[in-house]
Order: sequence, then C-alpha cells, then structure tokens
Amino acid sequence: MEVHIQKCQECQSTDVCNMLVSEPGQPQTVYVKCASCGQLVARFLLSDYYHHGKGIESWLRSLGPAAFESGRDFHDEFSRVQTAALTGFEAACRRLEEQKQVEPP
Amino acid sequence: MSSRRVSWKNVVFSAAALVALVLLIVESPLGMDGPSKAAGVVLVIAATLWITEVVPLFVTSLVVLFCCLVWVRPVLEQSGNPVEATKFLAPFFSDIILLFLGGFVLSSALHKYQLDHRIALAIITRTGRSIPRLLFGVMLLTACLSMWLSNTATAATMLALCLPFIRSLPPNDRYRQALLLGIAFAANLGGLGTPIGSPPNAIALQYMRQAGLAPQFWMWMLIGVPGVVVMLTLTWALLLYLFRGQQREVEVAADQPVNGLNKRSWIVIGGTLVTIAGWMTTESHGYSAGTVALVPLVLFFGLKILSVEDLRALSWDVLLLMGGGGCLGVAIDLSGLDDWIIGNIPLHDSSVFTVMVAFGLLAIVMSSVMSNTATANLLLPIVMGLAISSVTPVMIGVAFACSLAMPLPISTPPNAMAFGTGELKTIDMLKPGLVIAVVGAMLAFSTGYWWWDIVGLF
Ligand SMILES: [Zn+2]
Repeated sequence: MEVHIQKCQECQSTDVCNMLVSEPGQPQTVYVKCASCGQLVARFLLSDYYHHGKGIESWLRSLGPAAFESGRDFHDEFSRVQTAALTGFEAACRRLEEQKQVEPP
Repeated sequence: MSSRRVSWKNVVFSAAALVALVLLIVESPLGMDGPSKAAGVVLVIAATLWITEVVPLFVTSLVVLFCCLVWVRPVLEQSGNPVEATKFLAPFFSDIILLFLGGFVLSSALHKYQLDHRIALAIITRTGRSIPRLLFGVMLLTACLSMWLSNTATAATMLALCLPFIRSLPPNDRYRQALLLGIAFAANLGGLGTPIGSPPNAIALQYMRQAGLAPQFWMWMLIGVPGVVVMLTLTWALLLYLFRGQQREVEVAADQPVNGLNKRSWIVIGGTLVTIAGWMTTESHGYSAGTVALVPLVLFFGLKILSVEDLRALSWDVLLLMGGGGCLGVAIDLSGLDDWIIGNIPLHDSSVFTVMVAFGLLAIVMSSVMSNTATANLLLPIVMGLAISSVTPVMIGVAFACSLAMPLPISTPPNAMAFGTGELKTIDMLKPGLVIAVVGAMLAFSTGYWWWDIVGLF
C-alpha cells in the first residue's frame, strides 16, 4: 500500500478543499482546489460514495437503478461498504505514519 | 448474530447433503427413475444454495445450468430421450428475459434523467403536510413507480427522497417508522401490478406462455392493479393504526433542485410511453412483449441517451437468476420429476382452489426467509407440472404470494433498505408484515380468485 497526502503542484500546500459535484446521470465528481493559492490540484470521479455518519442515506442516493434480488445481499453489501471505508481509512493513516518514520520530511 | 446464522446454514446444508446422498446412493429412491433422480439432486442443490445464499443467487443459476449440461442431459440420453443442450440454454435469453431487460432499460433511463425523482418530488410537494395524507401519497407513488421500475430502485429513490423529512420529525415520533415501512411495503406490493413489476410475475408468465395459457400484459394489469390498490389502502390504515405519531404535519421542502426537461428527457418520456403502449396492445399488433422491449433498447442506446457504461450497470445478475429458474424447470419437466413429485404429494386430486391455497401458503413462508425470485424458481415448475385443468390462477396466486411476503428485514431488498436506516426494530416490521401477508393471501384466495374469474382468466 502506498499512501500520499495530496499536495498543490503550484505552491506545495497540503491545505486543499474538496468540491463535490453531482449531476444527474453522471458519476459524482470531486474537484480538489488548493486552499492557499486557489489552483486546481486534481479531479476524480466517484463510482461509489459513502459518507461516514450519514450511512445508508447517502449510499442509497448513489445506488442508481440497480435491482437487488436478496435482502441479505443488500444488507451485506452495505456492511461491506461501511467496514471497508473505516478499515481502509485506518490502514491509510497507519501506513502514512510508517512512511513518515522511514523518510522524515 | 453471525455465528447463529452459520449454524442455521449448517443445519440446512447437512440436511440437504443427506437427502442428495440418499438420492444418489439408492438405485431408484421412492420409485424415481434415472433422469428424475438426477433432476431431483439438482433441485435439492439449487434449493439449498438459494435458501442459504452461501454463493450469490445468480451463481446458483449457473450451477443449475452446469449440472443440467454435464449430468441431467447425459442421463436423459442414456435413458433413450436425447435432448438438445439448447433446451437448457434457452431460458437464459427468452422472450420474458428480453421483456425484463427492456424494463431495466426503462428504469435506467428514467433514473439517469431523474424523471423518477422529478415525478416523486412533484407529487410529494402536492400531497399536503398532513402526515396521513402524505403517507398515502408516498405509498401510492412508490407502488406506481415499482410497477415499472425494479422494487430496489424504487425503494432506494423514494427513501433517499423522503429520509430528510422523515428525519425532521421528532426522534421518538412513531410516524417515522410508518413512513419508512410504507415505502418498503409499497415497493413490494407495487410489483404485483405488471408482468415486469417483479421477477416472480415474469417467471409465472414464462411457464404459462409455454403452455399457451399466458394472459396478455394488460390482462395481468387488470388482475394486479386492483390488488395493489386494495392492499395499499389496507397497509396504509394498518400502519396508521400501529404507528400513531404525535406530530400532525411535516414540512416537505423541495430542497433538491431539479433542472428543466431537455431534449433527451423528452426522448426518454416518449420512448417509455411508446414501449408501455406497445406492451398493452400486443394482441392488436401481434408482436410479443419481448419484441416490444427491443424498442427502448435500440432507441436509448442508439441515440446515446444511455451509454455503454449504463448497459454494463444493468442488473444482469437478476436476469441470470431468472434464467436459472427456467433451466431448472426444463430439467424437472424433461426428466419427469414433476410427475413424480405430483404423484407423491396428496394434492393431485384436489380442486384448483385447494392447490392454490397450499402452494400460496408455501410461497409465503419460503419467500419470507429467502429471495422472492428464488422461491418462484423453485415452486412454479412444480405447479406447472400439476395435471389440473386450470393452472393459470394457481401460477398467478403463487407469483402474488411471493410479493406479499414481507415480515422480515431479509425478506426483500426494500425491507432491508428501510431496516438499514436504523430507525426500525425487527418487531416493527414483523407485526405489520405478517398481517399484510396473511390478509393479502386471504384476499387473493377469496375476492381475488372471484375477480380473476370475472375478468376471464379461467
Ligand atoms: Zn497552491
């Protein structure tokens, strides 16, 4: 696993701001803007958005016209997304700490 | 929780393994011949996998196909009844699968251009602020959408739309539960209304078509829609009775802005209306419902209203699941297993009505704990084998029973979604869910049966 902290290419600031754009029928788009100099840092598309703490509500919104056939399946899928978000976040934080210790800035 | 589920699965597995083993070892168990023995083992394997869901539901369908091709077919050949492999493959892309695919494409286009959202918002903001009225409006709308969209997509859209104002009610207000359950139950009930409303309907239609007994699309609606309206009204009254809240009114803010209709939205509206009209008039133009379903496919993908990504995102797994049922049905029919089962259950001399009640109740019990489609896949081929003069009402009764079962969070995906909001306890769903299943079944077996006779179903 490789973990990076997003940095502005213009001013090297790590102070960035995410702008989440939803358009009907399109995957959600995130524009990352530098909070220091205002430049565009990155753009990425989201296929599956999970908003922690807002749980199922935001997930239902991103679900689309899919047809599930099993109640268990639906429940398992949501648990998987929730757990994956939390464990992924923790793993990334841990990895970042390790990277910092190996190569101090 | 998880350890309990594992042990429950173990019990089902052990029992099924034992049954399959006995079937395999014994030369002709209970008078079964080679082919029906093979089909019987495949039926036990399919039932076990569909009930326990240890592998995804559609994988079980592929297991059924595999077993049919490598085992049932050679056994049939040895017994002097050679069968083409295409017999087992055909159910995976039949006219009914095409009909359902068309339904998914309509659903996808309506969702992509936010037309489902737009209709819902327009109506909810007009139902007024009184909660009982709002509940009825939301339920009616959910049921109407779910006749044309998948139950899952309808429930997801309506819950996402309604959760903000459900959460604006005080934390202990029982109307929160009423609204959540209203959406889930209405999404399930709405599926009764059209042949494409839910997979069990389409599966029943597929078998009836093979026997030349299938009702037309509009005929199905004539049978289903009154049932939906009656069940919806009863469910609404039941929810208001069980979940009486304090707050009388709710503020419904149209906080999500909706853009104006563009040219593409109009094409989607036009294409949808033309398709529905085509489905309603199959008798006059003579093209099958599956052929009509090609219209939205060609139109929307041809005009790039929908992209290849949208095509990939369609619920192909549900189509495979339906195909597996058809394949199992072919095996049961060709091997003569249906005759064996019918000969060994004490129902073959009973009236149509008795058979319908027996299978309807079995369907309700089974689909309460497992997928509606899997239940239909297991029961309908057996019903089809019944040598009764009028199999149509039994098929429809069983298909309806599959949609009426909703007492548990795992019974259907809409239930799982409503439960996933964390606002409901199992008992909140169990009480009204059981009443709906029992009352719904009783209505189908009494008023419904009488009504189906009047409209000329049998
Ligand atoms: Zn910068």
